[in-house]
Amino acid sequence: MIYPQARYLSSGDQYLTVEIGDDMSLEANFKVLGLDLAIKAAGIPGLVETLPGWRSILVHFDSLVTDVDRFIDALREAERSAGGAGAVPSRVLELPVLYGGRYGPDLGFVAQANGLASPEEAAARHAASLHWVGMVGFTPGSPQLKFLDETKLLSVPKYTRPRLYTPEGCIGLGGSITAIYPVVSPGGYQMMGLTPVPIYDRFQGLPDFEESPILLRLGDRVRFVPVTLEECDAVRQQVRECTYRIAITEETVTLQDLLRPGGAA
Amino acid sequence: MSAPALEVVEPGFLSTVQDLGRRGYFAAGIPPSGAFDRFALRVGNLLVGNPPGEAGIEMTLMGGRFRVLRDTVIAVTGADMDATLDGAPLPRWEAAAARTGSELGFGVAQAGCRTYLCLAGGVDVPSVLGSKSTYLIGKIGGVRGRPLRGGDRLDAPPGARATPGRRLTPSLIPSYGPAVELRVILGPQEDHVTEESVRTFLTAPYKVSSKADRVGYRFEGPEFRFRERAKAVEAGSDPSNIVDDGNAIGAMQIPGGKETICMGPDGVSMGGYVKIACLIAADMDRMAQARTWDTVHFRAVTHAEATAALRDALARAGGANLIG
Repeated sequence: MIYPQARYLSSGDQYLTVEIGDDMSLEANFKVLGLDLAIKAAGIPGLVETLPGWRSILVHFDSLVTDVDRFIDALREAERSAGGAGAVPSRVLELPVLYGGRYGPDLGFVAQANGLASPEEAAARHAASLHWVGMVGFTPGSPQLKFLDETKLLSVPKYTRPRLYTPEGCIGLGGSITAIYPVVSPGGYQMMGLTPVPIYDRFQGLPDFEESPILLRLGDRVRFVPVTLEECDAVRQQVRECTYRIAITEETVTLQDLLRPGGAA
Repeated sequence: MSAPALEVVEPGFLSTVQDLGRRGYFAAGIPPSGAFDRFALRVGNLLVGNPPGEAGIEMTLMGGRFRVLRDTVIAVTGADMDATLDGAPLPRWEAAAARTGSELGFGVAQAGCRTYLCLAGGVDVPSVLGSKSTYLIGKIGGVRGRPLRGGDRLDAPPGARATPGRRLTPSLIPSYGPAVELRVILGPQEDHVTEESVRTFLTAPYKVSSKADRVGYRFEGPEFRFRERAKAVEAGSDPSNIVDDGNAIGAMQIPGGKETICMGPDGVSMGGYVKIACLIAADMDRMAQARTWDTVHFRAVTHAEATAALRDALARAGGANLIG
Protein backbone atom coordinates (compact mmCIF):
# COMPACT_ATOMS: atom_id res chain seq x y z
CA MET A 1 0.00 0.00 0.00
CA ILE A 2 1.17 3.51 -0.82
CA TYR A 3 -0.01 6.09 1.71
CA PRO A 4 -1.91 9.15 0.43
CA GLN A 5 0.71 11.26 2.18
CA ALA A 6 4.17 10.36 3.40
CA ARG A 7 4.56 9.60 7.12
CA TYR A 8 7.37 11.34 8.98
CA LEU A 9 8.71 9.08 11.72
CA SER A 10 11.31 9.79 14.40
CA SER A 11 14.58 7.94 13.99
CA GLY A 12 16.53 9.50 16.82
CA ASP A 13 17.75 13.09 16.94
CA GLN A 14 19.82 12.97 13.74
CA TYR A 15 17.59 11.03 11.36
CA LEU A 16 14.00 10.95 10.13
CA THR A 17 12.23 8.12 8.36
CA VAL A 18 10.01 9.32 5.53
CA GLU A 19 7.66 6.46 4.80
CA ILE A 20 5.87 6.30 1.44
CA GLY A 21 4.16 2.96 1.94
CA ASP A 22 4.58 -0.48 3.42
CA ASP A 23 5.31 -2.76 0.45
CA MET A 24 8.06 -3.55 -2.03
CA SER A 25 6.17 -2.51 -5.15
CA LEU A 26 7.82 -0.74 -8.05
CA GLU A 27 5.21 1.98 -7.59
CA ALA A 28 6.42 2.69 -4.06
CA ASN A 29 10.05 2.47 -5.13
CA PHE A 30 9.44 4.93 -7.97
CA LYS A 31 7.77 7.34 -5.61
CA VAL A 32 10.81 7.08 -3.37
CA LEU A 33 13.07 7.87 -6.32
CA GLY A 34 11.04 10.97 -7.19
CA LEU A 35 10.89 12.19 -3.60
CA ASP A 36 14.60 11.53 -3.06
CA LEU A 37 15.45 13.68 -6.09
CA ALA A 38 13.13 16.43 -4.84
CA ILE A 39 14.66 16.41 -1.34
CA LYS A 40 18.20 16.56 -2.72
CA ALA A 41 17.26 19.40 -5.08
CA ALA A 42 15.54 21.47 -2.39
CA GLY A 43 18.76 22.64 -0.70
CA ILE A 44 17.32 22.09 2.77
CA PRO A 45 19.55 23.54 5.54
CA GLY A 46 20.97 20.82 7.77
CA LEU A 47 20.46 17.98 5.29
CA VAL A 48 23.43 15.59 5.50
CA GLU A 49 22.42 12.58 3.41
CA THR A 50 19.43 10.59 2.21
CA LEU A 51 19.18 6.78 2.30
CA PRO A 52 16.43 5.82 -0.15
CA GLY A 53 14.97 2.32 0.12
CA TRP A 54 12.10 0.22 -1.17
CA ARG A 55 9.33 2.28 0.37
CA SER A 56 10.95 4.86 2.60
CA ILE A 57 13.83 7.30 2.85
CA LEU A 58 16.00 7.64 5.93
CA VAL A 59 17.08 11.27 6.03
CA HIS A 60 20.18 12.23 8.01
CA PHE A 61 20.14 15.81 9.31
CA ASP A 62 22.27 17.92 11.59
CA SER A 63 20.20 18.82 14.65
CA LEU A 64 22.64 21.61 15.51
CA VAL A 65 21.80 23.37 12.23
CA THR A 66 18.05 22.83 12.04
CA ASP A 67 15.38 21.62 14.43
CA VAL A 68 13.24 18.65 13.62
CA ASP A 69 9.96 20.53 13.13
CA ARG A 70 11.49 23.01 10.73
CA PHE A 71 13.20 20.13 8.95
CA ILE A 72 9.94 18.18 8.55
CA ASP A 73 8.25 21.30 7.17
CA ALA A 74 10.99 21.57 4.54
CA LEU A 75 10.63 17.88 3.66
CA ARG A 76 6.86 18.26 3.30
CA GLU A 77 7.47 21.19 0.98
CA ALA A 78 9.77 18.94 -1.10
CA GLU A 79 7.09 16.23 -1.05
CA ARG A 80 4.52 18.67 -2.43
CA SER A 81 6.85 19.71 -5.23
CA ALA A 82 7.92 16.14 -6.03
CA GLY A 83 5.00 15.06 -8.17
CA GLY A 84 5.54 11.68 -9.81
CA ALA A 85 8.95 10.59 -10.97
CA GLY A 86 8.68 10.57 -14.75
CA ALA A 87 11.61 9.10 -16.60
CA VAL A 88 14.46 8.33 -14.20
CA PRO A 89 18.04 7.43 -15.05
CA SER A 90 18.36 3.65 -14.96
CA ARG A 91 21.47 1.89 -16.12
CA VAL A 92 21.54 -1.69 -17.34
CA LEU A 93 24.59 -3.52 -16.01
CA GLU A 94 25.69 -6.99 -17.01
CA LEU A 95 27.19 -9.21 -14.35
CA PRO A 96 28.62 -12.62 -15.27
CA VAL A 97 27.47 -15.37 -12.90
CA LEU A 98 28.78 -18.86 -12.34
CA TYR A 99 25.54 -20.59 -11.30
CA GLY A 100 25.43 -23.74 -9.18
CA GLY A 101 28.33 -25.98 -8.24
CA ARG A 102 30.37 -25.25 -5.15
CA TYR A 103 29.52 -21.53 -5.25
CA GLY A 104 25.79 -22.13 -5.67
CA PRO A 105 25.09 -25.05 -3.35
CA ASP A 106 21.42 -24.10 -2.87
CA LEU A 107 20.51 -23.86 -6.57
CA GLY A 108 19.04 -27.39 -6.49
CA PHE A 109 16.83 -26.40 -3.58
CA VAL A 110 15.72 -23.27 -5.46
CA ALA A 111 14.76 -25.47 -8.43
CA GLN A 112 12.91 -27.94 -6.21
CA ALA A 113 11.03 -25.22 -4.32
CA ASN A 114 9.80 -23.79 -7.62
CA GLY A 115 8.83 -27.11 -9.22
CA LEU A 116 11.65 -27.01 -11.75
CA ALA A 117 13.34 -30.14 -13.12
CA SER A 118 16.97 -29.10 -12.61
CA PRO A 119 19.30 -26.48 -11.12
CA GLU A 120 20.15 -25.45 -14.69
CA GLU A 121 16.53 -24.58 -15.29
CA ALA A 122 16.45 -22.40 -12.16
CA ALA A 123 19.62 -20.63 -13.31
CA ALA A 124 18.20 -20.05 -16.77
CA ARG A 125 15.02 -18.56 -15.32
CA HIS A 126 16.90 -16.30 -12.94
CA ALA A 127 19.10 -15.02 -15.78
CA ALA A 128 16.17 -14.56 -18.17
CA SER A 129 14.70 -11.67 -16.16
CA LEU A 130 16.16 -8.22 -15.70
CA HIS A 131 16.45 -7.36 -12.00
CA TRP A 132 15.62 -3.98 -10.48
CA VAL A 133 17.81 -2.50 -7.74
CA GLY A 134 15.28 -1.38 -5.12
CA MET A 135 17.63 -0.75 -2.21
CA VAL A 136 21.37 -0.64 -1.59
CA GLY A 137 23.12 -1.12 1.73
CA PHE A 138 23.44 -3.33 4.79
CA THR A 139 27.07 -4.03 3.89
CA PRO A 140 28.92 -1.73 1.43
CA GLY A 141 27.02 -1.59 -1.85
CA SER A 142 24.95 -4.71 -1.29
CA PRO A 143 21.84 -4.51 -3.51
CA GLN A 144 18.37 -5.97 -3.09
CA LEU A 145 16.98 -6.84 -6.51
CA LYS A 146 13.48 -7.56 -7.72
CA PHE A 147 12.53 -9.68 -10.77
CA LEU A 148 11.19 -7.35 -13.47
CA ASP A 149 9.74 -10.25 -15.46
CA GLU A 150 7.06 -11.74 -13.22
CA THR A 151 6.81 -14.84 -15.44
CA LYS A 152 10.39 -15.76 -14.44
CA LEU A 153 9.80 -15.27 -10.71
CA LEU A 154 11.50 -17.66 -8.29
CA SER A 155 10.66 -17.78 -4.60
CA VAL A 156 12.37 -19.56 -1.68
CA PRO A 157 12.37 -19.28 2.10
CA LYS A 158 15.51 -17.84 3.69
CA TYR A 159 17.71 -19.98 5.92
CA THR A 160 15.99 -20.50 9.27
CA ARG A 161 19.37 -20.00 10.97
CA PRO A 162 21.76 -17.74 9.07
CA ARG A 163 25.07 -19.30 8.02
CA LEU A 164 28.24 -17.74 9.39
CA TYR A 165 30.11 -17.52 6.10
CA THR A 166 29.05 -16.24 2.70
CA PRO A 167 31.76 -15.70 0.10
CA GLU A 168 32.30 -12.35 -1.58
CA GLY A 169 30.34 -12.17 -4.84
CA CYS A 170 27.67 -14.67 -3.76
CA ILE A 171 24.32 -14.34 -5.54
CA GLY A 172 21.60 -15.23 -3.05
CA LEU A 173 17.82 -15.53 -3.20
CA GLY A 174 15.55 -14.88 -0.20
CA GLY A 175 11.83 -14.76 -0.84
CA SER A 176 11.83 -13.38 -4.36
CA ILE A 177 14.61 -10.91 -3.69
CA THR A 178 18.07 -11.42 -5.09
CA ALA A 179 21.04 -10.13 -3.11
CA ILE A 180 24.71 -9.86 -4.00
CA TYR A 181 27.16 -10.16 -1.11
CA PRO A 182 29.93 -7.57 -1.54
CA VAL A 183 32.10 -8.79 1.33
CA VAL A 184 32.48 -12.02 3.28
CA SER A 185 29.65 -12.01 5.82
CA PRO A 186 26.99 -14.10 7.53
CA GLY A 187 23.89 -14.56 5.41
CA GLY A 188 20.46 -16.09 5.17
CA TYR A 189 19.73 -16.06 1.44
CA GLN A 190 19.90 -19.29 -0.59
CA MET A 191 23.23 -19.38 -2.46
CA MET A 192 22.65 -19.68 -6.20
CA GLY A 193 26.00 -18.73 -7.66
CA LEU A 194 28.87 -16.30 -7.71
CA THR A 195 29.87 -13.28 -9.73
CA PRO A 196 33.61 -12.73 -10.24
CA VAL A 197 32.98 -9.00 -10.70
CA PRO A 198 33.17 -6.92 -7.51
CA ILE A 199 30.25 -4.67 -6.65
CA TYR A 200 32.40 -3.02 -3.94
CA ASP A 201 35.98 -2.14 -4.88
CA ARG A 202 37.58 -0.58 -1.83
CA PHE A 203 40.77 0.19 -3.75
CA GLN A 204 38.78 1.78 -6.59
CA GLY A 205 41.21 0.04 -8.93
CA LEU A 206 38.78 -1.06 -11.62
CA PRO A 207 37.93 1.62 -14.22
CA ASP A 208 34.20 1.48 -13.45
CA PHE A 209 34.87 2.33 -9.79
CA GLU A 210 36.83 5.49 -10.42
CA GLU A 211 34.09 7.73 -8.99
CA SER A 212 32.84 5.48 -6.21
CA PRO A 213 33.80 2.22 -4.50
CA ILE A 214 30.15 1.20 -4.89
CA LEU A 215 28.87 -0.10 -8.25
CA LEU A 216 25.09 -0.28 -7.94
CA ARG A 217 22.51 2.34 -7.07
CA LEU A 218 18.77 2.43 -6.64
CA GLY A 219 17.08 2.37 -10.04
CA ASP A 220 19.76 0.35 -11.82
CA ARG A 221 18.79 -2.82 -13.64
CA VAL A 222 21.03 -5.88 -13.59
CA ARG A 223 21.27 -8.61 -16.19
CA PHE A 224 22.88 -11.77 -14.87
CA VAL A 225 24.83 -13.52 -17.64
CA PRO A 226 25.53 -17.22 -17.01
CA VAL A 227 29.18 -18.11 -17.58
CA THR A 228 31.26 -21.29 -17.42
CA LEU A 229 34.01 -21.86 -14.88
CA GLU A 230 36.63 -21.07 -17.55
CA GLU A 231 34.91 -17.80 -18.46
CA CYS A 232 34.53 -16.95 -14.78
CA ASP A 233 38.26 -17.51 -14.20
CA ALA A 234 39.11 -15.36 -17.22
CA VAL A 235 37.02 -12.51 -15.76
CA ARG A 236 38.68 -13.00 -12.37
CA GLN A 237 42.08 -12.59 -13.99
CA GLN A 238 41.01 -9.36 -15.69
CA VAL A 239 39.60 -8.10 -12.38
CA ARG A 240 42.93 -8.84 -10.70
CA GLU A 241 44.73 -6.92 -13.44
CA CYS A 242 42.20 -4.05 -13.12
CA THR A 243 41.43 -4.25 -16.84
CA TYR A 244 37.87 -5.64 -16.63
CA ARG A 245 35.14 -3.33 -17.92
CA ILE A 246 31.56 -3.87 -16.81
CA ALA A 247 29.02 -3.64 -19.65
CA ILE A 248 26.93 -0.63 -18.64
CA THR A 249 24.21 0.97 -20.77
CA GLU A 250 22.90 4.37 -19.69
CA GLU A 251 19.14 4.60 -20.17
CA THR A 252 16.14 6.29 -18.67
CA VAL A 253 13.01 4.43 -17.75
CA THR A 254 9.47 5.20 -16.61
CA LEU A 255 7.28 3.23 -14.24
CA GLN A 256 5.04 2.36 -17.19
CA ASP A 257 8.03 0.87 -19.03
CA LEU A 258 8.78 -1.35 -16.06
CA LEU A 259 5.21 -2.51 -15.59
CA ARG A 260 4.95 -3.73 -19.18
CA PRO A 261 5.20 -7.52 -19.50
CA GLY A 262 8.86 -8.51 -19.49
CA GLY A 263 9.84 -5.44 -17.49
CA ALA A 264 11.44 -3.16 -20.08
CA ALA A 265 13.82 -5.91 -21.14
CA MET B 1 56.86 14.85 6.10
CA SER B 2 55.59 12.37 8.61
CA ALA B 3 57.93 10.02 10.39
CA PRO B 4 57.28 6.92 12.52
CA ALA B 5 56.32 7.98 16.03
CA LEU B 6 54.89 4.84 17.57
CA GLU B 7 55.43 1.13 17.08
CA VAL B 8 52.82 -1.41 18.05
CA VAL B 9 54.48 -4.11 20.16
CA GLU B 10 51.22 -5.87 21.03
CA PRO B 11 47.89 -4.62 19.71
CA GLY B 12 45.70 -5.69 22.63
CA PHE B 13 42.23 -7.17 22.13
CA LEU B 14 41.02 -4.84 19.36
CA SER B 15 42.77 -1.59 18.56
CA THR B 16 41.93 0.56 15.56
CA VAL B 17 42.71 4.02 14.24
CA GLN B 18 39.65 6.28 14.49
CA ASP B 19 38.86 9.95 13.90
CA LEU B 20 35.34 11.42 13.92
CA GLY B 21 34.25 9.31 10.95
CA ARG B 22 33.11 9.74 7.35
CA ARG B 23 29.93 11.33 6.10
CA GLY B 24 27.95 10.82 2.94
CA TYR B 25 28.46 7.12 2.16
CA PHE B 26 25.85 5.55 4.43
CA ALA B 27 23.35 5.46 1.55
CA ALA B 28 25.71 3.00 -0.14
CA GLY B 29 26.04 0.96 3.05
CA ILE B 30 29.30 2.46 4.32
CA PRO B 31 28.64 3.68 7.88
CA PRO B 32 30.31 6.71 9.51
CA SER B 33 32.62 4.67 11.79
CA GLY B 34 34.86 6.91 13.89
CA ALA B 35 35.58 6.92 17.62
CA PHE B 36 32.77 5.17 19.53
CA ASP B 37 33.35 7.53 22.50
CA ARG B 38 33.74 10.89 20.79
CA PHE B 39 34.13 12.87 24.00
CA ALA B 40 37.20 10.82 24.89
CA LEU B 41 38.77 11.20 21.44
CA ARG B 42 38.04 14.95 21.28
CA VAL B 43 39.51 15.65 24.70
CA GLY B 44 42.52 13.41 24.01
CA ASN B 45 43.30 15.37 20.87
CA LEU B 46 42.88 18.76 22.52
CA LEU B 47 45.20 17.70 25.36
CA VAL B 48 48.04 17.05 22.89
CA GLY B 49 47.34 20.22 20.89
CA ASN B 50 45.51 18.60 17.96
CA PRO B 51 42.24 19.63 16.36
CA PRO B 52 39.51 17.59 18.12
CA GLY B 53 38.81 15.43 15.07
CA GLU B 54 42.35 14.12 14.54
CA ALA B 55 42.88 10.37 14.39
CA GLY B 56 43.84 8.48 17.53
CA ILE B 57 43.94 4.86 18.63
CA GLU B 58 40.81 3.25 20.07
CA MET B 59 41.52 0.23 22.29
CA THR B 60 38.83 -2.18 23.44
CA LEU B 61 38.62 -4.01 26.81
CA MET B 62 42.33 -4.82 26.86
CA GLY B 63 44.92 -2.37 25.62
CA GLY B 64 48.20 -2.92 23.83
CA ARG B 65 51.88 -2.14 24.26
CA PHE B 66 53.61 0.51 22.21
CA ARG B 67 57.17 1.71 21.75
CA VAL B 68 57.75 5.44 21.36
CA LEU B 69 60.01 6.05 18.36
CA ARG B 70 60.64 9.75 18.86
CA ASP B 71 59.99 12.40 21.51
CA THR B 72 56.34 13.33 21.51
CA VAL B 73 53.42 14.21 23.76
CA ILE B 74 50.63 11.71 24.38
CA ALA B 75 47.29 11.62 26.19
CA VAL B 76 45.20 8.69 27.40
CA THR B 77 41.44 9.15 27.78
CA GLY B 78 38.37 6.97 28.20
CA ALA B 79 38.38 3.72 30.17
CA ASP B 80 41.00 3.05 32.86
CA MET B 81 43.35 0.36 31.50
CA ASP B 82 46.09 0.90 34.09
CA ALA B 83 48.24 2.77 31.58
CA THR B 84 51.95 2.94 32.31
CA LEU B 85 54.85 4.80 30.76
CA ASP B 86 58.10 2.90 31.33
CA GLY B 87 56.37 1.10 34.18
CA ALA B 88 55.19 4.22 36.00
CA PRO B 89 51.45 4.87 36.25
CA LEU B 90 50.27 7.30 33.58
CA PRO B 91 47.35 9.51 34.58
CA ARG B 92 44.38 9.62 32.25
CA TRP B 93 42.89 12.85 30.86
CA GLU B 94 46.30 14.51 31.03
CA ALA B 95 49.04 15.20 28.45
CA ALA B 96 52.42 13.58 29.13
CA ALA B 97 55.82 13.78 27.47
CA ALA B 98 57.02 10.47 26.04
CA ARG B 99 60.71 10.07 25.19
CA THR B 100 62.23 8.09 22.36
CA GLY B 101 62.52 4.44 23.37
CA SER B 102 59.87 4.65 26.09
CA GLU B 103 57.31 1.90 26.38
CA LEU B 104 53.62 2.54 26.83
CA GLY B 105 51.63 -0.27 28.37
CA PHE B 106 47.91 -0.88 28.85
CA GLY B 107 46.13 -3.64 30.74
CA VAL B 108 42.54 -4.74 31.08
CA ALA B 109 39.84 -2.07 31.37
CA GLN B 110 39.00 -1.63 35.07
CA ALA B 111 35.77 0.21 34.36
CA GLY B 112 34.41 1.22 30.99
CA CYS B 113 35.30 -0.47 27.76
CA ARG B 114 37.23 1.81 25.39
CA THR B 115 40.45 3.76 25.88
CA TYR B 116 41.91 6.34 23.51
CA LEU B 117 45.56 7.07 22.89
CA CYS B 118 46.21 10.38 21.16
CA LEU B 119 49.57 11.73 20.15
CA ALA B 120 50.75 15.18 19.15
CA GLY B 121 50.18 15.63 15.43
CA GLY B 122 47.76 12.73 15.27
CA VAL B 123 48.10 9.37 13.52
CA ASP B 124 49.05 9.82 9.90
CA VAL B 125 47.25 7.18 7.85
CA PRO B 126 45.67 7.74 4.43
CA SER B 127 42.23 9.31 4.40
CA VAL B 128 39.74 6.98 2.70
CA LEU B 129 36.41 8.48 1.56
CA GLY B 130 37.14 11.53 3.67
CA SER B 131 38.21 9.88 6.93
CA LYS B 132 41.07 8.01 8.58
CA SER B 133 38.62 5.87 10.56
CA THR B 134 38.94 2.10 10.33
CA TYR B 135 35.81 0.33 9.07
CA LEU B 136 36.52 -3.36 9.57
CA ILE B 137 33.66 -4.89 7.54
CA GLY B 138 34.52 -2.76 4.52
CA LYS B 139 38.26 -3.11 5.16
CA ILE B 140 38.96 0.59 4.71
CA GLY B 141 40.68 3.32 6.71
CA GLY B 142 43.23 3.09 9.51
CA VAL B 143 46.09 0.69 8.79
CA ARG B 144 44.98 -1.12 5.62
CA GLY B 145 41.42 -1.39 6.84
CA ARG B 146 42.33 -3.75 9.69
CA PRO B 147 42.98 -3.70 13.44
CA LEU B 148 46.49 -2.78 14.56
CA ARG B 149 49.04 -5.61 14.66
CA GLY B 150 52.39 -6.07 16.36
CA GLY B 151 55.08 -4.46 14.22
CA ASP B 152 52.87 -1.72 12.77
CA ARG B 153 54.60 1.65 12.78
CA LEU B 154 52.37 4.67 13.00
CA ASP B 155 53.49 7.97 11.56
CA ALA B 156 52.80 11.38 13.02
CA PRO B 157 53.65 14.73 11.53
CA PRO B 158 56.56 16.24 13.50
CA GLY B 159 56.68 19.75 14.89
CA ALA B 160 53.36 19.60 16.69
CA ARG B 161 53.37 21.77 19.80
CA ALA B 162 51.88 20.41 22.98
CA THR B 163 52.15 21.10 26.66
CA PRO B 164 52.79 18.13 28.97
CA GLY B 165 50.73 18.40 32.13
CA ARG B 166 47.72 19.93 30.43
CA ARG B 167 44.65 18.20 31.81
CA LEU B 168 40.89 18.08 31.75
CA THR B 169 38.94 19.87 34.49
CA PRO B 170 38.46 17.05 37.04
CA SER B 171 34.70 17.59 37.39
CA LEU B 172 34.29 16.73 33.69
CA ILE B 173 36.02 13.35 33.91
CA PRO B 174 33.29 10.79 33.29
CA SER B 175 32.93 7.83 35.60
CA TYR B 176 32.00 4.50 34.09
CA GLY B 177 30.01 2.05 36.15
CA PRO B 178 27.89 -1.05 35.85
CA ALA B 179 24.63 0.94 35.79
CA VAL B 180 24.10 2.98 32.66
CA GLU B 181 21.23 5.20 31.58
CA LEU B 182 20.82 5.57 27.84
CA ARG B 183 18.49 8.23 26.48
CA VAL B 184 16.39 7.35 23.45
CA ILE B 185 13.74 8.85 21.21
CA LEU B 186 10.90 6.40 20.58
CA GLY B 187 10.26 5.38 16.98
CA PRO B 188 10.17 4.86 14.08
CA GLN B 189 8.04 1.74 14.71
CA GLU B 190 7.16 1.87 18.42
CA ASP B 191 3.50 1.65 17.36
CA HIS B 192 4.11 -1.96 16.27
CA VAL B 193 4.42 -3.12 19.90
CA THR B 194 1.87 -2.90 22.68
CA GLU B 195 1.74 0.15 24.96
CA GLU B 196 2.65 -2.10 27.83
CA SER B 197 5.76 -3.28 25.99
CA VAL B 198 6.82 0.34 25.41
CA ARG B 199 6.35 1.02 29.13
CA THR B 200 8.36 -2.08 30.02
CA PHE B 201 11.13 -1.05 27.63
CA LEU B 202 11.39 2.32 29.38
CA THR B 203 11.32 0.99 32.94
CA ALA B 204 12.83 -2.51 33.07
CA PRO B 205 16.55 -3.17 33.48
CA TYR B 206 18.34 -4.56 30.45
CA LYS B 207 21.74 -6.26 30.35
CA VAL B 208 24.45 -5.68 27.77
CA SER B 209 24.90 -9.11 26.17
CA SER B 210 28.19 -10.69 25.17
CA LYS B 211 27.49 -9.58 21.62
CA ALA B 212 28.43 -5.93 21.80
CA ASP B 213 30.83 -4.35 19.35
CA ARG B 214 31.24 -1.39 17.02
CA VAL B 215 28.54 -2.72 14.66
CA GLY B 216 25.94 -3.05 17.36
CA TYR B 217 25.20 -3.58 21.04
CA ARG B 218 22.76 -6.34 21.95
CA PHE B 219 20.70 -5.97 25.09
CA GLU B 220 18.85 -8.73 26.88
CA GLY B 221 15.68 -8.00 28.78
CA PRO B 222 11.93 -8.49 28.78
CA GLU B 223 10.48 -9.65 25.48
CA PHE B 224 8.27 -7.37 23.40
CA ARG B 225 4.67 -8.10 22.52
CA PHE B 226 3.44 -6.95 19.14
CA ARG B 227 0.10 -5.47 18.16
CA GLU B 228 -2.05 -7.16 15.58
CA ARG B 229 -1.71 -5.30 12.31
CA ALA B 230 -2.14 -5.77 8.61
CA LYS B 231 1.07 -5.71 6.64
CA ALA B 232 2.51 -6.41 3.23
CA VAL B 233 3.29 -10.08 2.55
CA GLU B 234 6.84 -9.21 1.48
CA ALA B 235 7.59 -8.07 5.03
CA GLY B 236 7.92 -11.62 6.32
CA SER B 237 5.84 -13.72 8.66
CA ASP B 238 7.23 -12.76 12.08
CA PRO B 239 5.49 -9.79 13.74
CA SER B 240 8.92 -8.16 14.20
CA ASN B 241 9.49 -8.21 10.42
CA ILE B 242 8.91 -5.14 8.28
CA VAL B 243 9.80 -4.39 4.67
CA ASP B 244 13.47 -3.35 4.98
CA ASP B 245 14.07 0.30 5.71
CA GLY B 246 17.02 2.46 6.71
CA ASN B 247 18.73 2.11 10.09
CA ALA B 248 19.84 5.28 11.80
CA ILE B 249 23.11 5.07 13.71
CA GLY B 250 21.65 4.37 17.16
CA ALA B 251 18.53 2.61 15.80
CA MET B 252 17.30 -0.20 18.06
CA GLN B 253 15.97 -3.25 16.26
CA ILE B 254 14.00 -5.92 18.09
CA PRO B 255 14.23 -9.13 16.00
CA GLY B 256 11.63 -11.61 17.17
CA GLY B 257 10.87 -9.24 20.04
CA LYS B 258 13.52 -11.17 21.96
CA GLU B 259 16.50 -8.85 22.02
CA THR B 260 17.30 -5.22 21.33
CA ILE B 261 20.17 -4.41 18.97
CA CYS B 262 21.41 -0.83 18.92
CA MET B 263 23.46 0.22 15.88
CA GLY B 264 26.95 1.47 16.74
CA PRO B 265 29.27 3.64 14.60
CA ASP B 266 29.90 0.71 12.21
CA GLY B 267 26.18 -0.17 12.10
CA VAL B 268 24.44 -1.64 9.07
CA SER B 269 22.42 0.82 7.00
CA MET B 270 19.23 -1.21 6.71
CA GLY B 271 17.25 -4.04 8.16
CA GLY B 272 13.89 -5.77 8.13
CA TYR B 273 13.00 -5.50 11.81
CA VAL B 274 10.84 -3.19 13.89
CA LYS B 275 12.85 -0.43 15.54
CA ILE B 276 11.45 0.48 18.92
CA ALA B 277 13.61 3.57 19.47
CA CYS B 278 16.89 5.27 18.60
CA LEU B 279 19.72 6.17 20.95
CA ILE B 280 20.34 9.92 20.98
CA ALA B 281 23.66 11.04 19.49
CA ALA B 282 24.89 12.50 22.79
CA ASP B 283 24.68 9.09 24.51
CA MET B 284 26.70 7.08 21.96
CA ASP B 285 29.69 7.86 24.22
CA ARG B 286 27.95 6.19 27.17
CA MET B 287 27.07 3.09 25.15
CA ALA B 288 30.70 2.95 23.98
CA GLN B 289 31.82 2.54 27.60
CA ALA B 290 29.14 -0.02 28.56
CA ARG B 291 30.40 -3.58 29.04
CA THR B 292 28.87 -7.02 28.84
CA TRP B 293 26.50 -7.62 31.80
CA ASP B 294 26.28 -3.92 32.67
CA THR B 295 22.72 -2.93 33.55
CA VAL B 296 21.08 -0.44 31.24
CA HIS B 297 17.94 1.64 31.62
CA PHE B 298 16.43 3.33 28.58
CA ARG B 299 14.82 6.72 29.11
CA ALA B 300 12.69 8.47 26.48
CA VAL B 301 13.48 12.12 25.76
CA THR B 302 12.19 14.69 23.30
CA HIS B 303 14.04 16.04 20.28
CA ALA B 304 14.65 19.30 22.16
CA GLU B 305 16.20 17.43 25.10
CA ALA B 306 18.36 15.38 22.72
CA THR B 307 19.65 18.51 20.98
CA ALA B 308 20.37 20.20 24.31
CA ALA B 309 22.24 17.06 25.42
CA LEU B 310 24.31 17.12 22.22
CA ARG B 311 25.20 20.80 22.67
CA ASP B 312 26.14 20.06 26.25
CA ALA B 313 28.32 17.09 25.21
CA LEU B 314 30.15 19.25 22.66
CA ALA B 315 30.63 22.04 25.20
CA ARG B 316 32.09 19.60 27.73
CA ALA B 317 34.58 18.49 25.06
CA GLY B 318 35.65 22.08 24.38
CA GLY B 319 39.15 23.47 24.78
CA ALA B 320 37.98 25.91 27.47
CA ASN B 321 37.73 23.00 29.90
CA LEU B 322 41.45 22.22 29.85
CA ILE B 323 43.76 23.32 32.63
CA GLY B 324 47.38 24.21 32.01
